[in-house]
Amino acid sequence: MSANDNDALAPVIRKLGRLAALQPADCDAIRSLPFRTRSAAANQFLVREGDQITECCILLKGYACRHKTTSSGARQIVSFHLPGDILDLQHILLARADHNLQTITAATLAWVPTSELKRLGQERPAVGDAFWRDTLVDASIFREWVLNVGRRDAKSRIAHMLCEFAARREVAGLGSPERFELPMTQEQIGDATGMTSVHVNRMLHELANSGVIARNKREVEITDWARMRAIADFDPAYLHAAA
Amino acid sequence: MSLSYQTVTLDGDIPDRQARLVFRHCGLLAVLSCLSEIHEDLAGQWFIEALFGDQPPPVKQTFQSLDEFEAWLSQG
Repeated sequence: MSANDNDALAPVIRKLGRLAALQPADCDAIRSLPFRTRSAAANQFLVREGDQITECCILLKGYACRHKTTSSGARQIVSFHLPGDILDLQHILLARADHNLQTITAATLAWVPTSELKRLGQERPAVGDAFWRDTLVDASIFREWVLNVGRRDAKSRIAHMLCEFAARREVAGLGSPERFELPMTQEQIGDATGMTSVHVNRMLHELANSGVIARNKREVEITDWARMRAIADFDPAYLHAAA
Repeated sequence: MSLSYQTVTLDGDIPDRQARLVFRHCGLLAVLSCLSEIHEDLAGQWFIEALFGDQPPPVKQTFQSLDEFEAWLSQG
């Protein structure tokens, strides 16, 4: 367990700083949290539904997702995560995992005792506000995903997922929203949008044929943002400029 | 299991337009499309576009051949 390890927690400080007005003392308090850093391979489970949790997981590098599965094994991905995200902040107050956490790519993670995060949120009101807002923005994104999976057609679903990923990447300082590499497979996109990978592939081809995106394997360029937003029915207000 | 097939062309812009209606006891059981080259390694396989009846949803969505589809169906 280390503390103050060369600002290893910088990605989460940046994220929480977008959620609340952190003072230098708040950032110092986050930096002084005890944590252990671990690498994870792509597709590695970090938490399984039913686990008893004593440490929260912060994504420092790479991409991850949350998902649930039916009793017959069908998987629904319920969120994608970028560096800086606390993957299971709810475990500050809920001891048992009600869903799975899994990496998408190779990743670096910081594991922080839940009791320490809880103490931090209580002792530093601005950090506590950031935790609250993070949870509420998560809930807003979940609501948007329910709408996306439940009520948008196949092309809009895929377009919306791409718009959201591009917008969140930009906010997280990971690069341009116009051009990016998709870390997730078509199967994972399908599991996030309630579609088969065959349908995902068709829709990506259709978006490319429409001239709103260009693709080369996993590299995506959004060539016409205005039309893409219209097809996706994408209004980033639900991200609250912070996710 | 006695199945019969009818060749059809699916409407719309999708490239996978060559399809089969699959009938069982005169009832429409499934619509299968033949995947085109945009699906790369899956090209030529049969994909379940729609499935009727009371069998559980397939874990596997594509089949190498219609025989493989019938084998899966008989296991259900």
